[in-house]
Amino acid sequence: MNISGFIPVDTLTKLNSMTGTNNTYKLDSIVGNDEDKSTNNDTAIDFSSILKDKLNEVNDKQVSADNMTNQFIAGDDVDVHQVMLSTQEAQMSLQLAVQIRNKIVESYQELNRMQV
Amino acid sequence: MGAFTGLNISSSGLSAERLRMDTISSNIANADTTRTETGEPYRRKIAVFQENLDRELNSVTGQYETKLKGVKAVQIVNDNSSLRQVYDPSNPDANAEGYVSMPNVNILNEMADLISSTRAYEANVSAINAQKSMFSSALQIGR
Repeated sequence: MNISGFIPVDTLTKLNSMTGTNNTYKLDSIVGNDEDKSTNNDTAIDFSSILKDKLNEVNDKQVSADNMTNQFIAGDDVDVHQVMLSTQEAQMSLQLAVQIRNKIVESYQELNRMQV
Repeated sequence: MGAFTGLNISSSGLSAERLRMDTISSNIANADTTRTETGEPYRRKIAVFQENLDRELNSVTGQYETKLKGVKAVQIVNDNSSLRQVYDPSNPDANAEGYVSMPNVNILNEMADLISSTRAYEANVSAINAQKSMFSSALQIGR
């Protein structure tokens, strides 16, 4: 059975471009091993750096919600609904991140169970 | 459209209603104020709002398109309707005929505005909750 018959070709090329040209996941950005970044930063955007960026954005929402709450407590010119909305935004971003993580873990387990 | 555009629009609505509430509070507090900095009695304040639009360049089509950004307060204007004349010769601000110019604030109107402002605030909160439940149900996809 030919698998590429199921998946459109552009989906495959997009996947390949996201995970790097040699189809291996790079963990350098997580481990902190950045010395070969200058050599292959032309088009390759690896999966782990995307994940890290997005997690940082979620964390930024939490931090800004924290700052907003502190400003409100300190008596700065912040409305109470702005505090509530920023905490809501942080909560919704975190829920989205958790769902994405669930999907990733689910697909990893699916691959792990695969009979070879 | 970002994920939180709707929240920001509703947030601007909430801020606008807070401002309207502030002006109404000021009107009620100064309902009997006969002296201001200009020397004449207090005049009723009205908050004026304007739709907040932003034109942005779409990176895909190359066209300008208008983005909704909610509402913004433009200014707070004075109500220039005629002042109430009350006969009270003992008042230090009474004129030669014994009449005092009182602010053009009608407490009943202000109370009605207060209710409509509160309800509008609640409506914005309902919109926020609806957006949040929409987001949550989108996260249920594939569960």
